[in-house]
Amino acid sequence: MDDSKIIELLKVGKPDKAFIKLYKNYPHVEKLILSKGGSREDAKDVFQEALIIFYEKVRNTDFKLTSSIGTYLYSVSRFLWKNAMKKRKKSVDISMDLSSNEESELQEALEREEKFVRIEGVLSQIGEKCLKLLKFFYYDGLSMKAIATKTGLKSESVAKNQKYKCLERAKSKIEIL
Amino acid sequence: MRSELENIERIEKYLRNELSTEDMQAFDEQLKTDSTLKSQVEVQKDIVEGIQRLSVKQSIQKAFSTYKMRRNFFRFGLGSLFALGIVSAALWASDSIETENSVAKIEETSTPQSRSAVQVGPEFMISEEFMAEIQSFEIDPTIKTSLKIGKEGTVLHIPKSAFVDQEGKAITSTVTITYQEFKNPADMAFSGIPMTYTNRDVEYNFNSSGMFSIKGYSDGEEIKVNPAKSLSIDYALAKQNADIDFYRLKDDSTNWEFLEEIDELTALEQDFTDSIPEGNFGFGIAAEPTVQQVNGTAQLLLAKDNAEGNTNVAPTTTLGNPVTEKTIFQYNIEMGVDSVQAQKNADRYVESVAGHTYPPIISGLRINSFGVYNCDAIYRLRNRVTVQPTYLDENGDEIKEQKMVSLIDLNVNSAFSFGPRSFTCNPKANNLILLFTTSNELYLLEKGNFGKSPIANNGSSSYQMKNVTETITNSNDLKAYLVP
Repeated sequence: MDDSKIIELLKVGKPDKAFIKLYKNYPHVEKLILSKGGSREDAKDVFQEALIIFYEKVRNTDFKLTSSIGTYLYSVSRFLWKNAMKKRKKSVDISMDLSSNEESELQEALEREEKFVRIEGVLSQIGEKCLKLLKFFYYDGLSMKAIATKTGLKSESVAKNQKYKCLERAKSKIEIL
Repeated sequence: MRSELENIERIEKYLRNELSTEDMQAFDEQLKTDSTLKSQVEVQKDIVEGIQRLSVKQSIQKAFSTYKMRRNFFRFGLGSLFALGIVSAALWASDSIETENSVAKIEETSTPQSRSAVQVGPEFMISEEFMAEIQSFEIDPTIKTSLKIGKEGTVLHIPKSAFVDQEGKAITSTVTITYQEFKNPADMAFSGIPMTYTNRDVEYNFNSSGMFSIKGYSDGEEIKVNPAKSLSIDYALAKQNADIDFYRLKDDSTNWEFLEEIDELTALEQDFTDSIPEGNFGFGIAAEPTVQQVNGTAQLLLAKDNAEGNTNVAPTTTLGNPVTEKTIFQYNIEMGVDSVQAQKNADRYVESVAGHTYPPIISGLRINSFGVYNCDAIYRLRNRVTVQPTYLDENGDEIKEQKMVSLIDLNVNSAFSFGPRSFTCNPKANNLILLFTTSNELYLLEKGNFGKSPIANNGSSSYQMKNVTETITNSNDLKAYLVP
């Protein structure tokens, strides 16, 4: 599968297949992290983060690839790892090949991630059923009718009401933060 | 005062741009002054984005599990070869990239010879293009599910509450079932799955009628089948073979576990009720019966391997005179034999009787745990020889960075993986060798060339390989070459 196909899959909301394909770039990144003082767990985290950044970039911007996706993920991973080591107050010998524009973009992405880690933590406490329902609506883009059938709720309006209740539950938990 | 739910609904509509123009303007006005509303909008927006990000992360996690599974396949296949003692320690070492424990193992098993062997970086993995496709399905484990897999009619039946986590606790959240199938030698060549079966110290080779792997994950973690439940599969056979049994690869991948015999098709039997051959067959494994004329009467000799590996001729039976397609077909149905090596004028019957005795879909095979399953006929490797090969490229130079070898007997639906230092084979079989290097170059010993390289008494032999990296780039290309 070529890069443009992968981007298309992400754009049309079929990321599962795209991510599987993107993992073929993982060994390269893993090798990098292992050679720069990281563990396998670090490599896994860094690559996942790079994938999220790539995903959001494709989804939210008019993204034009200037290099191959593999090169992009690799250079994002380098940035992420350098950053992670800085946080751990360790220095690491990785030179940066990013423009200052790209760097500040990635810095923003990191701040976003920090914020959302907290929010995702809250969301994982609203119960499996709520999470599923909200996922069906906001991620899979299913209609309320389809969601009612899938979740075994009586009708579309029951599902809709349930969705608001789930939002309320999440909201009240976030407001405590 | 609006109720909280109404408020949420209104914000939702605002965010999704579903308010009327009027309401929208009013909302915007209110936002300018109402800081509470403003922060509520922010929170709600964050929730929606959070849900999306969480889902993306789950999708990534799933992709990682798939990736790991592929890598594990590769690993445990080689691990088991090591157990069989036919792979060099170096290969095991080179593949011990996955966990720290297995790295420790290398220290124990390395030999001086292996240390000088090819160095392999941790990034090596058989290219994805050569791995059988993994399909994945998301299911709700709290209800009964039947999954249709592929187009040939394979269906996986999953009862409700069929899964538990590693601690044995019931799983109620979404379960991902992954299914990977190995139907032909191209799928099997680099799967790393061992294709030999040892029973009472005798090693048999598999001739596969289809092999598949089923795994389950929840929240990115591997799960188990509830011991009180079992799944079942209606399996569309990839190929007809005689004497198909159902096996599961043991978790340590050292051997296969025999699960059950697969029932033959009874409908055919009814069509051939006459002239059933008489005789007491001490029928064993891997028989190659021969038809011969004895005093003007066709007789069938049943060759049977005993545990020592010698071939005995089992009781002889009279097939009637003349031998007819019907009698041989009947015999095959009775005995499940398809490799009838008929002699003399019985030759032409052979083709027509081979492999039509099983229904295309085998129903209700039980799956008590996740893992790799195989519908197989087993046979003894004849004229067994262990070869210490030298692989040469087109210029006669030894190929560098040898990584993994797959030996395929073109008459059998199977592929056998070996390290680059040695392999075991029947030198008279229709063999073909594939060699992968660490830099993902693929070399091939072309069809018909195996017999041209003599094997010395000490087992050494050298093979002139062809670099096919450019022409065979995925399992489909390989399949097209192997099974044109």
